[in-house]
Amino acid sequence: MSTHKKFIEQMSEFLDGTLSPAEQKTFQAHLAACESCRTALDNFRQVKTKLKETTDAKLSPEKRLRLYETMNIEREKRGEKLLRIPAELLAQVKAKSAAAGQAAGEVTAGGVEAAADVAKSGASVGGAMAGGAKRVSGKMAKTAKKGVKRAQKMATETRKTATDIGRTMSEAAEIAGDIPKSPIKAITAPPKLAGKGMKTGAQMAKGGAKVMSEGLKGSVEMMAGGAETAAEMMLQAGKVTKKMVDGIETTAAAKNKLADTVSKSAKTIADAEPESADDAAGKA
Amino acid sequence: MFETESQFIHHLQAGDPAAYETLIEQYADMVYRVAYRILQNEHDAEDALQETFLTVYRRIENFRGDAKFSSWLYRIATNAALDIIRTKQRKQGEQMSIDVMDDEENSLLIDDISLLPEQVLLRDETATELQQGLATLSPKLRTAFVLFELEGLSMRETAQTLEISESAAKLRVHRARIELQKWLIEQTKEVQI
Repeated sequence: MSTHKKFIEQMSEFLDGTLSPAEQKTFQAHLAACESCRTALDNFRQVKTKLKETTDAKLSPEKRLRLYETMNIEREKRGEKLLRIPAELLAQVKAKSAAAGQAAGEVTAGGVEAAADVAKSGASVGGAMAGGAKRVSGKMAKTAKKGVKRAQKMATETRKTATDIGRTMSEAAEIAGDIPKSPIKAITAPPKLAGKGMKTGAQMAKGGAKVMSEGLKGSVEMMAGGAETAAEMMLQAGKVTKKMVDGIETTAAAKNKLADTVSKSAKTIADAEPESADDAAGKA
Repeated sequence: MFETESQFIHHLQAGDPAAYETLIEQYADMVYRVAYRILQNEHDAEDALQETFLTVYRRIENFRGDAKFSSWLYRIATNAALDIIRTKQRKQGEQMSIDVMDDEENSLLIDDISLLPEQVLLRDETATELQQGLATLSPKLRTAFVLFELEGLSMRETAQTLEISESAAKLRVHRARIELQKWLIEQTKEVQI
């Protein structure tokens, strides 16, 4: 058997003082030389001390009173004289009961106040969110309206250009149709057709430029509108966030306030003492 | 008010209300404390307290004065607490009965290595954890530990209260110490991890 194992087995007997003188001498010699065994023994002692402190439960006045009442119910069954409940005990329970009632009122009031603060804060956040959404949607609608107008202009220009081109093409077809009718037209038609082709090209270029111009303007407006909307969204989100932070602070403050009230109330109940000599008079 | 213990007992046996008032004032705190230490629960401890005093009232006529009155009271309080644990175990359908613990006592094994701590510092929060450790002990070990270590009864009184031999009481206290130490070391390891 190792020295450590022997030590562990003898530790209880050492603590109980039941080792023989020779065993005690050997035990103490090992203890002096071995730090880990000293720690183990110290831990055993500390465990006992700490547990003694933490489990030292006190009987409350209410429990003591209930014990008297239980005993009296039993004595009454046997027809024996009832126990006299100490006046001081009755006064203590009465004082605690009154303090508990008052504390319950204070905690309830504190709770209502805290709930009102939190609700107010919540409403403020809700208002900021609704206002922000309205402003952002207004900006978005304005930009969209501009976009629609530009799109309508682009469609108009495209239609005009297509009409012009169609007309020129028709004229060109007429010239081409006349060629078989007269040999002279075969000579004059190519320059005319070339002219029509040039005109069509010019109309296409002009129309395309107008459509492109409207498109570009529309794009610029959309980009500007988008940027403005995004800026508005950021602004409104910032406002809402601030309100929410305020709300969180309000909630935390309300929680702390309520915790203080509960803590004070618990102390009031714990410290409750009879108010007057009359209270302490009690009854049998 | 009562000059000797036997005079006090005599008045209790006669049903004298003053003797019962003295009984409550002198012993209710002690009974409640030991019940709480065994049961680890205020509500159950109050039930054990009431049951103990009712038992004293009903059985005081049987008290012959062979042991000290306080030892008799400790025995009734301990049994009341253990009865509450048994009732709970039955309700929960637990197979591990308080009464099958003796086999464990006979097969006590000590793992010496795991019991040598590097350093277990008992911080304030460890004290609360220790109470949880006490709750993890089996009822028999816990009761022996509570009576001997926390209530300060001698080993002989502990044995008499539990109605077991002194060597069996010693073994239970020793085993409880080791179980608690193991538990504490495990907790410390978990904190370090």
